[in-house]
Amino acid sequence: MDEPVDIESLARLVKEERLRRGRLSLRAAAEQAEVPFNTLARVEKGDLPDLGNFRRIVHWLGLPPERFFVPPQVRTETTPDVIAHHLARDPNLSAAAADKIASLVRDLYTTLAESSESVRVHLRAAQTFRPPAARKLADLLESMQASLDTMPDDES
Amino acid sequence: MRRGFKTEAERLADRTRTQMGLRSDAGLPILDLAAHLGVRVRSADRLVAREELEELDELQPGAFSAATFQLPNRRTVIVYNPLSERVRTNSDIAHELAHLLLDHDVREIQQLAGQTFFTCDPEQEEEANWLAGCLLLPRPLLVAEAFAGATPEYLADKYQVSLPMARWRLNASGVLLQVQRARSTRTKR
Repeated sequence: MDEPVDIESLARLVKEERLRRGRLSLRAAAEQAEVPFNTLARVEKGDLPDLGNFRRIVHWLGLPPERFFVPPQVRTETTPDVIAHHLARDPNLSAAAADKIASLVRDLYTTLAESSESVRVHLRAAQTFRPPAARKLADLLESMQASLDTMPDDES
Repeated sequence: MRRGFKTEAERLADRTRTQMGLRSDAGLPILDLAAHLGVRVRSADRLVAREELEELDELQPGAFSAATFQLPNRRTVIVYNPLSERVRTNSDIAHELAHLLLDHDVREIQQLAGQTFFTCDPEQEEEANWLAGCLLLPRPLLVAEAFAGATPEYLADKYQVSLPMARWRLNASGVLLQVQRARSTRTKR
């Protein structure tokens, strides 16, 4: 597996959770998790949802988001992600406690850290992404923005 | 969708068309609307290599449709995917312009544990879809065309919108039902 987020595990756990909750249909599970039916169906097939739906799904599973971060890839991530990853694996902390501390750290970091330039766009795109497509699109949007930034006003 | 939005969207579309000097039952060239709003429209292959877009399309067909960038000096640029069909692009540009008309927040790209996530507000996406439909196929236009017997295929071809958009607008606007009822009343008489 070469993805930093364990999508396979997410897909498997969604299916297991549906079965555990009395063989729920995908539609019923989607209603419970408060995500669109199509999104949950695609996630169960290995697609990546958008961030809001990812959070709703892991909340429905009763697991912290960090549970799905794969250790070897954590090295390139932001400081709050690395801290959250370690907190999620600390045996002295319950999942809820780890999540709470991670959330506090993330809030503090967001407030105190220098913000980096990022691409902010209105985007019309797929509802769920295959992980390599998500990365590729993010790279392309960054390149597009860089191109536009360097274009003279009358050309862009 | 919040209460009253559908009516608000029809009104906003109508007002925008009036400002452009268009009749409420006229077709809307989407690039004219972009120009009216001071928005530039560019094909993505002017900014990145076409091969890169093709590579994305191979990874996931239809992953990217369009994006609106807010640049310094208050420049707004809509970038569309040249690999999409023209009618689809028209709908995509209309959707992006609808976000701007509705003053929606931007959708962010976030990195979480090295994975790229896109944030999305489903309510705002739904609103932009609705308004885009009202802009391209306003109700008065649909009423006139539907009473004249226009099919979704005819509408899609004439007004250069996608077939799903034409079908959806006929149904969602209630025009199809209105025509069917009017015809059945006439038959009964």
